[in-house]
Amino acid sequence: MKKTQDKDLIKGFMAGHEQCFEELLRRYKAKIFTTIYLIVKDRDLTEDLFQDVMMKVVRMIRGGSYNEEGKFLPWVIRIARNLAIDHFRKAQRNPVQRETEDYDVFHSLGRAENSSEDNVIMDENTRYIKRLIQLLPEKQREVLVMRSYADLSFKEIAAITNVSINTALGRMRYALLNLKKLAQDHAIPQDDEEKVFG
Amino acid sequence: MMKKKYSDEDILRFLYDEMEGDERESFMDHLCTDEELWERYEEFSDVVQRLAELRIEPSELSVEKVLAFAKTYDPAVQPLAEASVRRFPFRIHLNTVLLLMGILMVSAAVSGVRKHDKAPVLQEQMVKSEPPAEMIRWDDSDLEAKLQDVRNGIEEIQNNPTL
Repeated sequence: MKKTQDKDLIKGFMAGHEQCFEELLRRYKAKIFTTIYLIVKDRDLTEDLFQDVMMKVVRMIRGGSYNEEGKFLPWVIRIARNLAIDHFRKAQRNPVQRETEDYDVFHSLGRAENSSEDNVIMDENTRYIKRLIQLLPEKQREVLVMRSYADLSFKEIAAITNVSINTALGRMRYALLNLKKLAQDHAIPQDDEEKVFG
Repeated sequence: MMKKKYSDEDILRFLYDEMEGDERESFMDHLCTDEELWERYEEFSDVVQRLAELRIEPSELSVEKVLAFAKTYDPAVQPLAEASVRRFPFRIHLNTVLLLMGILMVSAAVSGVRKHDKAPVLQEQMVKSEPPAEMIRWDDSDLEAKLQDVRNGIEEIQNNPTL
């Protein structure tokens, strides 16, 4: 059965077919949620932001604000990042601006480190990878999260972060190499390291 | 085949499906014959695959809330606050209108009282339980007109989507 394209699902939802939005949500909820979680690092906050993001998506699509030229998932991820920034701005009462050359969103959001994960149920492997990702330098983590989980292309990442494509690729390269190095430095038992990174 | 030097960044572009056409075909050919390239490719591929396994799902409750919202949301009857957030601060304008309305009512009331300003009579009669009729009979005919103007203004603002 041919998979319905995102743009057709969006058109269907704009026309009032809620099952089209349900399909979009089914396809992308994990990616969106994972991306938000790796940014804010708190499960409860991620649940709240996820709902806020998707409700805003509903309002914008039904209100006719969706730009068909862009891909759906990157568009949602931009909304998610901006809402996360807004949240931390209100929480910290800091006049942080969005997406400027001088502002590194992952530097500011990194202050949410070590939040409670009591309610998170994930296997040990997943938890381990997540922890390693959070140890990466901010710019490398940003590129890695946006490429691996938000499905943004390197070109889109470069545009968002105001760097060249080569720089974005370079940061990704270092991120992946550093993940392997971090796994070694954190004294993972040999069996587990091979299980995680081969 | 002549050995071509591919960078780590090229390997990443291939891994993430950002290499196209002839470039992709050529890379795949070299991958089959260049052992060093294959080893570097494997190194990155393992990490990328493990990263892809990291999937954190939202709770069922969150998903249900979102779907319920999607079913019931109607942009035609969106809350006024919602409209005001999207457009320039309509909520501020509304608050200003309400404030002006309050000021108008107060000023109208004050001007009505002043027309019947009988301070000495008032002081004399305050001890009595029933105020004199003159104190409570205000000239409120223009007050009602003013209030209607404000109501019309609010209605106009609410119905004008360009504000």
